[in-house]
Amino acid sequence: MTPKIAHVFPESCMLIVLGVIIGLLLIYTQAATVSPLTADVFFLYLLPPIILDAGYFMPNRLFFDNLFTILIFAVIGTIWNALMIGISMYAISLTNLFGMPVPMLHMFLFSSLISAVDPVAVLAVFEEIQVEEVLYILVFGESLLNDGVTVVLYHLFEGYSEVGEDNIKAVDIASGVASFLLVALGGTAIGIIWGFLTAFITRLTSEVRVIEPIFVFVMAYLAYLNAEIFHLSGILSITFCGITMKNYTEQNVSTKSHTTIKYGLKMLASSSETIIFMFLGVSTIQSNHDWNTWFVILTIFFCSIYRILGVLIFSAVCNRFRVKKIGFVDKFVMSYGGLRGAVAFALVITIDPTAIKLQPMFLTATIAMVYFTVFVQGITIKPLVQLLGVKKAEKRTLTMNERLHERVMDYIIAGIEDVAGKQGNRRWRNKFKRFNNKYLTPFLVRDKNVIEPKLLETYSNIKMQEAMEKLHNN
Amino acid sequence: MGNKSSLMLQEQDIRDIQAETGFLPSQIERLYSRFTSLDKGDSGTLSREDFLRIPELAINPLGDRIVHAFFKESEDDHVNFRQFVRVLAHFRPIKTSQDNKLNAREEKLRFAFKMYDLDDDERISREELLAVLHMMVGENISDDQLNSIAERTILEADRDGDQMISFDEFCSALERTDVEQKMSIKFLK
Repeated sequence: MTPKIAHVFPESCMLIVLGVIIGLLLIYTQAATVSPLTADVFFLYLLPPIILDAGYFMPNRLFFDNLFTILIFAVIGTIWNALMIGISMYAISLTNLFGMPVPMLHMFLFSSLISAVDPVAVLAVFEEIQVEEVLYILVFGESLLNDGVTVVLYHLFEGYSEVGEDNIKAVDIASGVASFLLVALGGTAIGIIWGFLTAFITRLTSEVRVIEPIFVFVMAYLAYLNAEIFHLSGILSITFCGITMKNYTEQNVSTKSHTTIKYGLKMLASSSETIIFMFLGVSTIQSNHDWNTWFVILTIFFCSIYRILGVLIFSAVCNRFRVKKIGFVDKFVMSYGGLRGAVAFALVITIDPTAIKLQPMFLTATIAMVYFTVFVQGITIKPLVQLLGVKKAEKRTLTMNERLHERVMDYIIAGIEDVAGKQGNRRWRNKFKRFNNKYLTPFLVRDKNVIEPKLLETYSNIKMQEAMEKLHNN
Repeated sequence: MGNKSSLMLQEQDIRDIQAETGFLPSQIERLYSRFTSLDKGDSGTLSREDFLRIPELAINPLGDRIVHAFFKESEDDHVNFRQFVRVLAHFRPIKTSQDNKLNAREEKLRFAFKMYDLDDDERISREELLAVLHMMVGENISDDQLNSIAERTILEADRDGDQMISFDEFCSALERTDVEQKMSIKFLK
């Protein structure tokens, strides 16, 4: 029985169901008043571990190779979603279908929080289905990077709502665009700075190995808080902190510390994820609801439609620049993988009901949307992926041949791009590599600098594995 | 042949090159203007010095080998535009709709193979492997370590026990690698 359930339902669905049951029990027995998921608890304690885990174990190479596509989807795609959903819903509300007028700016506030794909939900579902790596990084990278856009849009429309529709000038819109750049780039910059700082500190910890994991966790968390203090994007900050520090800390810390970091992070992240989904379930029972059938149905409808349209449009744009095209099946999985989750929920409960009267209706619609994407899309995505024959990820450790020859291919391509006179992505990577080897690595890494550390790393990994196998066989 | 007009690309040449390499006319024209800008002596051909004047290529550890690959097809020490484009054509992305031999997976792999196989005996020996490793890692790794990496690489790939990697063994060692993507460039139109 149990294995079958696990086969059909993703873990996140089961957790929400469990949360609902607990919520029901608590309400009927009146045993205790639970505080449901509050925005502070979510943003300060539950979200950072998941994002750090994602950033620290990010396949950097894959991420930066696809950065252009990811950015198009995360930035322009999210703005597109927010605007189109907002406009459509506002147009519908003019026909009085919802039984009440909805101010335009309130509608945009709602559409901006509902339009972002959620990294927690995407991770929870995609970790299980194991699609091919490029497809995975596209959906996942988008969900991580669109946070910058979501936070800005949300605060923007929150501010606009306070000012009122009539008092908005062109200057306010210009400052909105500027604040987007500031929030996204500022958050990224803070993350990178803390990442380098962490790398530098782990260089000095060879005498006190026990504190190595703590430094990685605490410094990354400080990066997150540091960004949040200034209302910059904490998610971007902690993501880039993880990406930046990884290569250096891995060389600095001992093998044992590294194992601790790895499993500590995994454990923290999966407990956070569990708690978030359970809290979501519990909060569904507790919160004040205002069910508006048309509003809920149209929210779900427009979110799905504009997701599909957005994916079609932007993948057509990206395909003009990509060597590996986004195929039909990929487009389908990308539009279907646009799950909404706890970030939308946490944002909707931070809306002040006294200022925005329709908050309960927004809350109900958001919960409905989260349930729809996590349950309907989450449950059906696995069979669909099998049905469509999406390439699955193959877990593999690189052989020495693969590592070596792939490096040679990188150099060949970089050389050929120089000959053909084209500014490519790979050329930038080689530029960074040279800069890194010359200036950063000697400063941030304890051991003598090595120009191709990955070659050595692969070699020692292989040797280590063989030694372990030998031990086991004896 | 020194005057510019004779170096202009003729319609017929473009068509021929297009048929041979699969590049679009606009890509060929773009590559041609790149070719002429590299050709400092206006001779209609490129010499080794022309290539090595590209600053990035000069510090690429495999720069010499890559330049060498351009001269494989020509007898003398000059590469004309036709040969130049032929080499670049290996790096066109593979499209299922247009079949072209130059950019097939096998050709891409062969190009990489030739980076090692300097003496053209269709085998990578331990010395050839070590030479490439030396270029890539610089002076900071001890010879012992490099030796053991080279030995490990051969051990993994070598199936017929001759202590060398033949082209077939090379291909099967890279079976899981997405060569189509790794060895392709999006040429601007």
